[in-house]
Amino acid sequence: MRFVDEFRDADKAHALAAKIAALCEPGRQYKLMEVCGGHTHTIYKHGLEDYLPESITLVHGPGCPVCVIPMGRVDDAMHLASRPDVIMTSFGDMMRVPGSHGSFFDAKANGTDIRMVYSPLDSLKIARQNPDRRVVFMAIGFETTAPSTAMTMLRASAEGLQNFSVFCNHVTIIPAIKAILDSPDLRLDGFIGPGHVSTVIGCRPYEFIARDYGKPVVVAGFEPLDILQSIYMLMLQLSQGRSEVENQYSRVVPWDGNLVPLKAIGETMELRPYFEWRGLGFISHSALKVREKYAAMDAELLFEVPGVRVADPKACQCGEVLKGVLKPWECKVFGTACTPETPIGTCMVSPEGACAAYYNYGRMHRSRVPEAVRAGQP
Amino acid sequence: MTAERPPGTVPECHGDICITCSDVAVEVRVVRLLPDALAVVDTGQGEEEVSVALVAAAVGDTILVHAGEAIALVGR
Repeated sequence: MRFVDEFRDADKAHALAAKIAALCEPGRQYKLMEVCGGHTHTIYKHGLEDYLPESITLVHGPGCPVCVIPMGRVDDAMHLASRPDVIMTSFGDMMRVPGSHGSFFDAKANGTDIRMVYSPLDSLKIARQNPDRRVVFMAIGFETTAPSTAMTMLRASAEGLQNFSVFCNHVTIIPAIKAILDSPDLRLDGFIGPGHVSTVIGCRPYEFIARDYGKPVVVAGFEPLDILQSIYMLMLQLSQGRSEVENQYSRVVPWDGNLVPLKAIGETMELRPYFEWRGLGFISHSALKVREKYAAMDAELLFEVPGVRVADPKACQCGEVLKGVLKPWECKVFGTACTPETPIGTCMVSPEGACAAYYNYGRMHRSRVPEAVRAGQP
Repeated sequence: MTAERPPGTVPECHGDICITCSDVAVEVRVVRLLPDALAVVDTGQGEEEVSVALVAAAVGDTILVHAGEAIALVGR
């Protein structure tokens, strides 16, 4: 299959791994963050950590949309969904995210009208089919997903659809990366940049990371060789003392992004002054809300939303995992009270969440492997 | 903690990644263009209707689709 088979070649992976190992300076430790949850998933699905020398640690970033949504917003959404005149529509991943009183799935089981959609366009169909009900789309995701919501709003507006609105939780990746860079408890050497966010925003927004923080960034694709090659490119920059933004995923990502979706986002949405991220706290200008021009489609204005801030469950350490301070298996409830079937924290919900990726592929930190082998011996 | 659910009630997206909700998008081929900037695409597992309002896609092009919206042309 084009663009798949050639990026999963084992011989090439071993060759890249050898080149990466050769670039490691003796005694130096490297911490590289993969910002995007899709990359986390590929890394664990294909066991890429096993290809890397001990001195390179991959730190999982905050780029999983459902993992960073704070509990208060889930409760707000649940409040909207509980109105008898409302049909709530949501992506599949969001259905399992726990709020203080259960998830969308739990609410659906109790009779709340919440429907799973694969695209916001499906929400428009539901709105057309139910003119006497008000359809609210739970909009969530980074700049990859925001264009889809924006286009759906533009289509609804052109059609004059009166019963469709959006509960907007779209977030933007750059302020989150900046928050991580400014976080005192984390020292990173470089970033594997998000691939599909970058098809929209391009590579230029990352230039401040290289310029102001002196860290290299390589925008990466999602196949195993894409990621290994990106790690090689990062290590090459580090070995040569360079910090630049490079584009490994140029077969898909144009350097300047795609202006058309950016315009659609800009037409329908604007930056919020601040937004809460799970684990990272409040970050300025890090999320989008519906523009006033489209106020008739803004669920936060159309309905009363409680907007109460809810603290995460005490046992949950998603915050530390999202910042890369803790590895998933170091969390107290990982794999015991918190599993993909019954998640306590959001990182266990989406297949892109670091905890779910660890759990599903049975991976553990490399330092524990000898320990586990010893434990297995008679 | 949420109540335990019977197996099979958790939605399975295509493969093991939720293609619609994440940063991961899928590459599909345009089969035919429809009115209102929509198109029928071949996903490899069947045909689906998606929006091509944000890209200049022609029949035969490979496009990157996320949440029902094409966001990029691939390899052109």
